[in-house]
Amino acid sequence: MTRRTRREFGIGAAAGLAFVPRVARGQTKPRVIVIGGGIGGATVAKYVAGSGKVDVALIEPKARYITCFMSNLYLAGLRSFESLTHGYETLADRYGIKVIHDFAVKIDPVGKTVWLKSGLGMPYDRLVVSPGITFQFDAIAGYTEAASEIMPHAWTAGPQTQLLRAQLDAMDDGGVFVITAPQNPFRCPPGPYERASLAAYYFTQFKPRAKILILDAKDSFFEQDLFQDGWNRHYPGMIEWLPGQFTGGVTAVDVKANRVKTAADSFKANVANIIPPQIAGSLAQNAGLADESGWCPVDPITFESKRQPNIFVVGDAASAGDMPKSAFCANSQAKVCAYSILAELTGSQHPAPHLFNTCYTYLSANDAISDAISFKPDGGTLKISGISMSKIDESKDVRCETVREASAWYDAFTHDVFG
Amino acid sequence: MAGLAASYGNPLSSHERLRVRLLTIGIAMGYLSVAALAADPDHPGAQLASVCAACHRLDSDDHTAGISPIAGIEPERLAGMMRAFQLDAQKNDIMHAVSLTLSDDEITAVASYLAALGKAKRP
Repeated sequence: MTRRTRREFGIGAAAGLAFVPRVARGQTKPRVIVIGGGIGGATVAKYVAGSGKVDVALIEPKARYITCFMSNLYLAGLRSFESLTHGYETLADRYGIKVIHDFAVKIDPVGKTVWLKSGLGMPYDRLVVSPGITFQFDAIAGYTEAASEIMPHAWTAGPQTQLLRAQLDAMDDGGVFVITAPQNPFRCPPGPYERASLAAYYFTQFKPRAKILILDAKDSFFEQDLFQDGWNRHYPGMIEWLPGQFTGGVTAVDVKANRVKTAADSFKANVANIIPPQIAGSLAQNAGLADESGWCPVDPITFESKRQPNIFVVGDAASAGDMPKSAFCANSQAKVCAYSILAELTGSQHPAPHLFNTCYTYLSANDAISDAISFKPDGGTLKISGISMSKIDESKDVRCETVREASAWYDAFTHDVFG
Repeated sequence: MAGLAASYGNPLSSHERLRVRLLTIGIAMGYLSVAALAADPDHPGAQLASVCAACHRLDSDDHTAGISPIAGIEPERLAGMMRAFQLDAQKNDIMHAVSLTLSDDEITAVASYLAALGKAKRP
């Protein structure tokens, strides 16, 4: 064997050999690399590897994934942080996925190689990029990454979520909790309003004189009538929502003075939760997968990037027509993407995609609502084909049953992704 | 096992029925995990069942959970439930939306697949 540098050697290097452990009689399986171990990435990796016909590597810097969904329950004291935390051991052990805890720093779409921070170059036949979101820290004056350590966004679950919980715990009774909600599209459209609901549930028990102020960039929000009905029933007078047409949107924060500023006013916050505007994760930006909107256009049937061949984008980073940015959508897209890749690489069937979003949203500890939306490819994008959701006049029993369903859904869904 | 295969009916071909039988035997003998079967792209019902797996545990019989187990239900009964959901007869918003996206052939395929999956766990 001639001497080669580690980079030239690429997949043939020691680490690469571990990536293709099942090569038999010189027969190399196709190679799929997945960047990003969130819901979209982990699901693609599992479903591609589940065929047994493809070698799959999953590149994710973190050893554990903490779900954003249900993290509002943690803020309200209704769920443990540990219960939101998931590892990659089963994906590695049961499915033979090579889980690499490293950063993907560069994609070479011509040489079909991913470069890792460690210097390793990994060739692929198909690449899936599921990088989630990047916050636009420059969109609100004064809201830098450092400022988020004082006014958390808590829109990526982890230390930010724990920080916000600690701040809510420390807040005096009678304090004001300000939540800012960005313009669409952003991760988890009902999220800011569920957060307000569950913070109010917590305050009602321990700080009944507290107030919650939502400063919205929008003039309306998803399931608004269901939320406002719940707020009136459970927390009368506690939550105030100010639409963008009234405030002009959030323009600046002053972390030293604990103030949140809109075009028209300035608000004192005892605790401020700033949810900034978002775009696709930085790797997608650097790899030229995103367009001028900041999100990644994809083929609605395969989820292949419209900008780079053989690279697929799923999850929040994808611009997928009417599909919202949610964990459920990421999982649904990931399965369609996985079967599309398997069809290309192994010749398996690829019937018409079935794409869904299902969302369970808590208004209180014993009051949850749900919705289900189906999507179909239409005119080069994805459009809503059916929708059904909870209704305002549902009984307490129905809402309690939805809470039970939500808990069972979390168990099944995280098992589907990581188990 | 012959009865299991015979209960599939359309739209599974004889080749596909044999494939499910072999997979079923594989699971019973511990060669394949249930989860691996759920990901098998070569079975006509498998890709559809992956949609179910986002909310239903396909490896569980726990009827006390908030979402019912579905693997192992007789295929005719499960298909009947899905068609009832299409008519909103059972008042489940989520299943109403999901079932309406499925053709009659797709309902038959996924019901057959889930029945085989459940029986594979209890040979």
